[in-house]
Amino acid sequence: MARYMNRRIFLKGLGGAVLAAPFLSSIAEREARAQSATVSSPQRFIVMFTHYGCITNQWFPAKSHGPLTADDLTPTTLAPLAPYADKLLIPRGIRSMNEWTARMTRGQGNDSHTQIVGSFFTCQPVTPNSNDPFSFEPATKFQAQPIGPSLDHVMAQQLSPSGTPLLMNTGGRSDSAQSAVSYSAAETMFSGLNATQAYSGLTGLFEQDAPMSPDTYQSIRGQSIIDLVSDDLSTLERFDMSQADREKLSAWKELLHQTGTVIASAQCTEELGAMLGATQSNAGSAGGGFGSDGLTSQVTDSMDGADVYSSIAALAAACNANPVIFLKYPGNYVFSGLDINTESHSLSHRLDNAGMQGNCLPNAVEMLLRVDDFYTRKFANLVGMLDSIPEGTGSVLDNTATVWFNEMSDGNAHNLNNAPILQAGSAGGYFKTGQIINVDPAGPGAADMSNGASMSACTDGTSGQTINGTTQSTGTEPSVANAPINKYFYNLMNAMGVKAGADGFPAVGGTAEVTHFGYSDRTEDFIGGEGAVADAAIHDPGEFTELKSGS
Amino acid sequence: MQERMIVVLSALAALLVACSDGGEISSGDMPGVNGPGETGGPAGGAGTNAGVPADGAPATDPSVCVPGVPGTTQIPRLLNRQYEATVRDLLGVDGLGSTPVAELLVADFDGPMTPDAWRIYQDVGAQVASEVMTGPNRSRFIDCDPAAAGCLDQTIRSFGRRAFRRPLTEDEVARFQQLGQTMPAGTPEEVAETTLLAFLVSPSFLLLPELATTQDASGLGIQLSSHEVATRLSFMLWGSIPDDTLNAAADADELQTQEQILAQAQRMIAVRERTGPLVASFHRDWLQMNNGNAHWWKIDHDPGIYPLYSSDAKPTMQAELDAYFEDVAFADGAFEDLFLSGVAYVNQDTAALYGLDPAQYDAELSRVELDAAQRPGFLTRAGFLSSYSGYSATSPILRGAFITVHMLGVNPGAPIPGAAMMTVDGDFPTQRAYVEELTSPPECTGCHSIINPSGFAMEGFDAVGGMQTVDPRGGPIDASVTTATVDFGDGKQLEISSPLQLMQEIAQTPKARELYAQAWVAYAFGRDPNGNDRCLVEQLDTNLTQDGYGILSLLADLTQAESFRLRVRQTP
Repeated sequence: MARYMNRRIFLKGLGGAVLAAPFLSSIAEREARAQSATVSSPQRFIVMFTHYGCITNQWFPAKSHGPLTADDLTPTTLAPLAPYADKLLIPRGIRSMNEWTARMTRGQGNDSHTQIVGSFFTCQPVTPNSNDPFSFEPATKFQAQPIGPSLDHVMAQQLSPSGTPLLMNTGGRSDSAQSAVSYSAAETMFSGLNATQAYSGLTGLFEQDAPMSPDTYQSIRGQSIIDLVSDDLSTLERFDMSQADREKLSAWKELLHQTGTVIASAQCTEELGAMLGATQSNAGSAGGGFGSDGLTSQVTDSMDGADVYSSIAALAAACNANPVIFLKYPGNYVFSGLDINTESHSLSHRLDNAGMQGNCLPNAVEMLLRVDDFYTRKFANLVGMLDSIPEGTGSVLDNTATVWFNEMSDGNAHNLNNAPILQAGSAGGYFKTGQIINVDPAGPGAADMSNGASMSACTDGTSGQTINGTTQSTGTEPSVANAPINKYFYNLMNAMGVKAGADGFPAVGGTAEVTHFGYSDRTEDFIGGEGAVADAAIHDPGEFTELKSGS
Repeated sequence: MQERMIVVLSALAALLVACSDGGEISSGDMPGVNGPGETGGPAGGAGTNAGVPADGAPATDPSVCVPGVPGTTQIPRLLNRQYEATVRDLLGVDGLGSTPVAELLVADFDGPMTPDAWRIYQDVGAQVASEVMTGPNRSRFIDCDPAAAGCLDQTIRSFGRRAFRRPLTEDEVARFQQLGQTMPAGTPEEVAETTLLAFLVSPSFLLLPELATTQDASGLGIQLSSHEVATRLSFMLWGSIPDDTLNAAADADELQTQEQILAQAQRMIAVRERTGPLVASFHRDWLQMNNGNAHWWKIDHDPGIYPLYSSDAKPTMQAELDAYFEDVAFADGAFEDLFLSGVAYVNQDTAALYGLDPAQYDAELSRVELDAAQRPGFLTRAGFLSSYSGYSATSPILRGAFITVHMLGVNPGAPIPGAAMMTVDGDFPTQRAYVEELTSPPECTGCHSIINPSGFAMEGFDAVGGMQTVDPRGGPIDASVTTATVDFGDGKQLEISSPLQLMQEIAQTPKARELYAQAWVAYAFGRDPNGNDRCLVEQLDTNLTQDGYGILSLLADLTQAESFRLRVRQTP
């Protein structure tokens, strides 16, 4: 049985415990929306995004194509996921867009992180462009932003009650253009939530009773305030202002009138939250203090700060609060709880704790594996939580595509081919699971594709070592594993029910299958930025059929 | 050694890259680079928008003065730190539970209002309203009985005047009155609380609208109304709302000329408890503490080597720097005093780092005067010294890079991302000797001859901020810079024999002054300085060269720019 909750109950959030639904709108509206809503098990897209790549040789199972079993995972970094092997899908041979190289051969020349994160979920170039890969102009190197919205927003615009994704910044850290992946529009970075803020957005869904009677002041005062806010915005709109200012006023006004019905599941209760570990108290403890490592800090006997964020994601999924949920892990992070005193970016370059010091960190690979293992365990815990919540004939996990994306393949090489992507859940049977599927156009179905060269260490020794980021020697040979990530995004959008216009690009109100997304699906098209490559376009439309069940 | 050189050189030759000190310079190592709002800190933490070009600001060359007023948004939204200060000054609410109000809000962002940000504004507003109505600060909102005739009307006008930073129009008063005219009706108590909540979520409260339309006689732009000037003044100098005196001046329309503005600015700056936190906040910004890619507070230290260090003391070290900058500024300190003052603030956790007896101190910060010849300025305080160090050793490179880039404005050149990494083997008597050997290959020296020397000059301070005469590696400390020189820009290269000499020279370096002036303009106006702002930067820079020109004078002069008094509509 589903319960129908209006978003304005949802809105009351943190104040819910002390204030009764201040912004409750009319019951009539709620019922009208509810009747038109379809009650079925909705699909959710849950993403865990981490920075600086991984030790690819340990991360990937030995074979690059074929059935995926626990035995395949056990010798790898992904060992903690062995119990879920039959619910996993590892799409192999994929590359994301806009790679930084010293000679600008596979993307823009802005920055080896700024352009990657900006383009990752947008498949758009960043602006302003730099054609000098070694320029230190702040505007291009550190502040450039993509020229279009990211996948989470494109999906949420069609699927989310609020029109926006639930983006959580784990560890309570916020992002700069060098680490942000979520853009609501061109050059419009989206701010994520911390655990408390995200949790407070769910508490309104726990109500067991019907919305309060409209016959009280408390129930109507919310609308009165909304009317007052709307009037205030209208007054401001009458003044001469720039288009940009006008758009901000109208966007705010639109929020006031948005109803966005949330159809909360029957099991969406505070008790479920407590079972998962998603509680107000845990959320408040998950942020980490001043200069401390909140991600790995124990919050309860069995959960650290990162797990609390995952539990909120799982609760939000179970509640149907938002079908697009992103867990964004921070960059430049010191995992002191893993006994690592080297900031994660430096570590990815196998450097010691001083970012510019440049001397070899003798056990860098071992420490990187520790970070990879931590992330894997966090993903396994997230998967476990989702799988523990029954839904229909299976679990919530089965009705999700829960995907761990990494900024890059190898952190030192910054290479974007051979992307480490791990999906759990079939999105309601849309995807095959229990499989590794190699979609590399250079050798589709090949089981022996390269797993990279990340193990090359910068080791103490009697002679110098060079592990050079610009030669990309720790990455994967660029000629392999180049299937564009755009195509996987089409799969994900179609699995979720996102619709496209006649041109195949996602479009609100569209009816067609998504076959196009982004500026281009060829990383070389990003060289020079927007407009520089004349035939920049989607060259290979349509999803990876190999990943779909029944194919 | 020879083998290493060959390997490295061949790699570099292939890349045609000149400098390979390894690792990527992050934005934390680059001047003038802040993420949107602040990065890396707790989400929602207080900070500035410095580094974010203001909407519509022309993309002029920021290094060339172009007279004029830049286009700006007319509806800037309160930064979280401003919201927090406003709620505190208006209503006496510092936080909800143990959480500072700013940390409850969605992290500062530039784009349009988002559903979550709006939800949380409402949630926080509701909680603040509830707390005020039931708590000791109730009279700051309403000081009469809500049931009494005229009480709510009077409250709407008087509280609204302060909340909106201007008198309400009659239409607005009527709009708020309607909250008490509903069916079903609320109790007077309910209506009062609802009224407060409505103020706290009103766009006219959350935004700082600038709506005046009178062209200034200069033809440079639109003259802000006195109420709008008052708002700019109070948010620039106090990060919060105007006080009664400023409100009175605005109501009397006495904030139109530069002289009127200056008089108010000087009065306001003297109110230390309100300007002090802003001074501290600016200096955090200047020193890149709000830049998530910088190294502040990210490193801990080996307790075996540094038993005096405790990671729990990091907040104390940060508080010390806040107090230090406020102290210097309010002692009429000038730019050079930032680098030379012997003032320190210590408590039981940090006293020993400065050679003081911890037993003499408690948990509170105490002001002490150190020997300024030994401990000149903020760069010799524990916060900087320990943040810009390694886990088990000092980092002359990190310290040197910070000084070179952020203080002296010298760009050492571009290292290559993930550059060649090298080890050096052997027993080195000191960290300095190790670093010298590490960076000795010719392809490294281009950058490191610039970066290293100022770091070496700081080797008399260990990795946690204490003094050291013997390196943990066993050798005697050599902190003189005579084999190489510190590059102060413009061809000035000096041998340096002590931290004091280094600090004296930094304080006299024109580029250092200019960066400081530029940082103030960025902070005060909430944008990367553009060509129009450049003129103000140059003016302030000139002022800073005058003897006795204090930091607080600079603050006042920020209000004298045409771009402070006037606005130009951004385009499109």
